[in-house]
Amino acid sequence: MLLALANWIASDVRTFNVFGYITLRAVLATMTALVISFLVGPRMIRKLTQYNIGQSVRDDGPQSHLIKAGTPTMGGALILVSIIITTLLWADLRNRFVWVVLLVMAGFGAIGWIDDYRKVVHRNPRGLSARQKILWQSLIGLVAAVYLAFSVSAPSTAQFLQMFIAWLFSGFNLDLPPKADLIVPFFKTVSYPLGVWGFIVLSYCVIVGTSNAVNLTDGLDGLAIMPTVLIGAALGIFSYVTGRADFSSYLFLPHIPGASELTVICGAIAGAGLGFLWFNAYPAEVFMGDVGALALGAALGAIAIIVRQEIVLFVMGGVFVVETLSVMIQVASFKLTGRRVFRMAPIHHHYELKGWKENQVVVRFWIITMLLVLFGLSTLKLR
Amino acid sequence: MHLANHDLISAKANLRIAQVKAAYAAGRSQNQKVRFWIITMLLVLFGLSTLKLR
Repeated sequence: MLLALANWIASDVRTFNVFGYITLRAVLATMTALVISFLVGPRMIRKLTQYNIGQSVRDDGPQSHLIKAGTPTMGGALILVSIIITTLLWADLRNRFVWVVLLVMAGFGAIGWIDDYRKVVHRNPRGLSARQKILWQSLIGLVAAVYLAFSVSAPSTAQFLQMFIAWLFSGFNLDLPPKADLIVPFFKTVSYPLGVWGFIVLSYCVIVGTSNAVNLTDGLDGLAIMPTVLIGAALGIFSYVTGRADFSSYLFLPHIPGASELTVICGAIAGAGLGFLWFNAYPAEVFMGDVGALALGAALGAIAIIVRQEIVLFVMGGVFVVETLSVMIQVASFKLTGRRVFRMAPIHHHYELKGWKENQVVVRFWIITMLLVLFGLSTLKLR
Repeated sequence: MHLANHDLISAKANLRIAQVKAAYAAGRSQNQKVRFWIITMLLVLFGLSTLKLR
């Protein structure tokens, strides 16, 4: 909205042309999201406490966590409000990728909200059943995946429709242009052609998988939000580069027109995340809950798909991946052999039970994510 | 009556916040540490923005 206003004023006052620069708007978005979090945060925490929206703590978890029972949860709503307001203010709202990411984030946030609300307010420990949850996640993930398969390949809405109709009338058998291939990091010319179905399946897995992985990681104060901020910031750099014809050509990346605008959303994610961390750092005054974790994970997944960096997301989100794998391994091992591989899953609890302090686990996982993000960013040049 | 209820809820909320704060008192310095990191990150961002904004 502010971009439209600035463009309108710029016809008289040329200085306002500066707001056309995505880099400036990304920095302003980060600041705006942070300020919104700081302003709204204390009030939201007070309201959540007033309405008794407190976290219940698993009684089979580490004993040190019992003290956290009753800490307000659903603080993820603060992050979402902050990101959505900031994006509406600073992003170019004619950009379709901005809307895809916003809608996917809001959709997954709504699923998390309903789950949290039933658990915490209605005191229904089951919340949304796993089946209902995965059904709604799949629905949103699939719609987004189908849309992205064609919108990433087609630079304009007209071409998007043309390609989509061609796919329908070809008996669902159509090849996508090379820019929709799965990019293999560190190789200039190696990429895997996915085709429409491959693209849809991969995108679905990335969106739903990342969303649930972030949710599983959200078990210690500040553990999930800092990696989200770091990965969001890195994806911001990827989006900026991918959306620029000159940079993408220089770095041998596919050029996706319009992807640069996602830098503004990435800035908003980083700002809102840091603002939330202010209250979520140990000892947390508020937890993000499913409403924040599911939404942020889905948003990161959608951005990674648009900028064609699914494998790099997998690398940078190594902490999320390992947390998810630890749960899968634990469940599989217990069902098959009756033995547990870890003292407790997800893996952050395993380290706590090994004697690491909560803060040590959190900060060490942050350090690992920083290294992985640096490694991911190095793929920009090293190919 | 409605006002009295509201005051009671607010008082309960404040008490809850105080309890949480007291319970986490041992970790308070940790919280401040992270907040100083956040401030530093912002200052770094501000510094980096001077690359473009001139």
